[in-house]
Amino acid sequence: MRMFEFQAKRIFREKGIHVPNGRVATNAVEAEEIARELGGPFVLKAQVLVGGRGLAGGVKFANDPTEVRKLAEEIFISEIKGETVRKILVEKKVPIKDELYASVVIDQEERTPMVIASSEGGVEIESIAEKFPEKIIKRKIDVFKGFSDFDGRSIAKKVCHDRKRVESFASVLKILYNIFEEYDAELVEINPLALTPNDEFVAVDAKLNIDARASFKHRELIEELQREFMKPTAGAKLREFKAVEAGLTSYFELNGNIGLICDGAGTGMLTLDIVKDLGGEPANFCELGGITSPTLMKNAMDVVLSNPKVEVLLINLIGGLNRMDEMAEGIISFLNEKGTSVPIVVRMTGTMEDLGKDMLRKAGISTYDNIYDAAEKVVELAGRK
Amino acid sequence: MAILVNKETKVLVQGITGRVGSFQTKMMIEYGTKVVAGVTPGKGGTSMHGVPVYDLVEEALVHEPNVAISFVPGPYAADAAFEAIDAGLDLIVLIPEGIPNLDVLKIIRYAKERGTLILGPDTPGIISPGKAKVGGHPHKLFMEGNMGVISRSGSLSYDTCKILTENGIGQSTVVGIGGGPIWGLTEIDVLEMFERDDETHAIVLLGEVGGTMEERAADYIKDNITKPVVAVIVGRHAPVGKRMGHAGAIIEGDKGSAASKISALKNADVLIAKYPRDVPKLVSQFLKK
Repeated sequence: MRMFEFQAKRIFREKGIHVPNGRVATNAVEAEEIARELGGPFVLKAQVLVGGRGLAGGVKFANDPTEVRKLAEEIFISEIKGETVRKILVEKKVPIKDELYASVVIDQEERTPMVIASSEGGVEIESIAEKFPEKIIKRKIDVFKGFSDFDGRSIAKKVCHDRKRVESFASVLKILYNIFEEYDAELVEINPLALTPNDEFVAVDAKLNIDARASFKHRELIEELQREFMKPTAGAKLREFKAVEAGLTSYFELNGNIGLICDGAGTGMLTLDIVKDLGGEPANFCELGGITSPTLMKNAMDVVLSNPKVEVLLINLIGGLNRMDEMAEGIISFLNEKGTSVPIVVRMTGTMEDLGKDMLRKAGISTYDNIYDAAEKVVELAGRK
Repeated sequence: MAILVNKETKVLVQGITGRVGSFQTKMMIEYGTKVVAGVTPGKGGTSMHGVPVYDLVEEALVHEPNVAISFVPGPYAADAAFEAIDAGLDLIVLIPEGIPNLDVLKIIRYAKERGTLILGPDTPGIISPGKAKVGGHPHKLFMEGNMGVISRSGSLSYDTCKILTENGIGQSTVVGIGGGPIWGLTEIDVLEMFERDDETHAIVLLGEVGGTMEERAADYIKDNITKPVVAVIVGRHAPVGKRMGHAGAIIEGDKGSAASKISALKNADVLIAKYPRDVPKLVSQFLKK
């Protein structure tokens, strides 16, 4: 879960990493007031949760407070990659002598926290890796030991050309690692980490993505995120938002007319592949997760069928931990409470399938035993593209 | 012999009194698995489906369990896993999918130090058909035999074993390694076990988009596996940058695509089946000996 930049910077500041002076504004007048307090020159940064914000017009520079207001007005009425801007971070621009890079991630293959640093900040880490692979320094950190001073020193000596800066860079890394640990981060990143003419390191940008599985430990921060996030009011974004609220493991939309609901990731991808191979066009991918409930199934149908593009629905269920009687209960209660005119094709097999199929049969719904026949049927109903 | 679990396996269920834990315990017992004890803090002294329930793993050790299956939810999962590791169990099957990543790293690291194997998290578990089931598999779809099956996804392994069973091809052991993004036992670990297992004559590898595990498995197969391997990779039509249900199933840039995995596996002489239904035809040639 990606946090807003202003949240990440607040945490950085609390923990002792320098960030530019600045505050968030909720309207253009406030932005101008903040600018008057700070003194220029200024940077205005739209607080949105999408990548590539700068290129999409979400970052602007100004020399005086009046210009700040003008630019803030422009940013507030624009959408940044489809996201409405509710807050702008107004900062005093930091003079930059050099730009470095620092982050902490979990390396999935090595199964360990990994600190990554480079002398070549300011561009995406992927392009640093492409242009200067030798300038990316990585160090595994033992998850029980944590980050020691010598870890920082070892990385800093390889990154900083000037010995004077080794200790201060190492201390930024140590704080960054501690934030990673305390906030259960998937990623904590400073890019660029600016070196000012006074030889001070300042986090010009700040990224903090929290592991959703650890969200129960960070409720206040996530509640703030949800408050500040402009809830979508219509369309695919709204349905995706509702899917998250409903607890669906995965929901996103595609361009076709065949709604999909599956009760496992592997079977979901298999279903998508089969339908596409047959010439059908899925309207979405929707996975319930391996352990589900009747309510979850009902909610999934509600979300998927609220997409006006869906002309036929394929529900593919192969129960293990997930019980087919519970799935049948969810399907039937959706049809009783909400109903739909969209034809529904159900494939059902696995745990408690006899009971589940029987419940559906009594409700007038026949089921397929294998996914290939069910997919054929649904593509035939939807019409091949 | 099968791998990891067999007729002699004695199972301890952590979180035995929960909604899913109690139901799946009943199913495992029905299948013939020796479930010897359960643990739920605060419920010690009671019983579930005839299985004695304890407050602590150390108290359940009188029944000499060697494998634990945990239904303990994310926030408490690490504690339960450490408890089973400290008690010296050989293998812990971690069913839940909501365990914080840093906890998963700690569990795996601690288990390695103490010589305990971790399967999962976010795994359906493991079944050696006809011998034992330590997981949530719909066991009617499985049959005893000589195919070793490795899968990241539970549901994909069910679909594949269903079609194998319908074609009279049984399985030695079916291992769900879990949805990632961090795994205890990996595809390579399980490949190595199947290579050594006399009862396994051929291997089915069920992979999916995301990460590079199949590419690394392909390298491993090329140098170390003498048994025939057939693979299915799902997610050929998965869009870039979208999480396909599993936390580990996401194509990032040019990393993790089905095409990359399929080409790496082909390069290791692995036969690629387009769908699970094509697997029986491909494997039957190796089993008619």
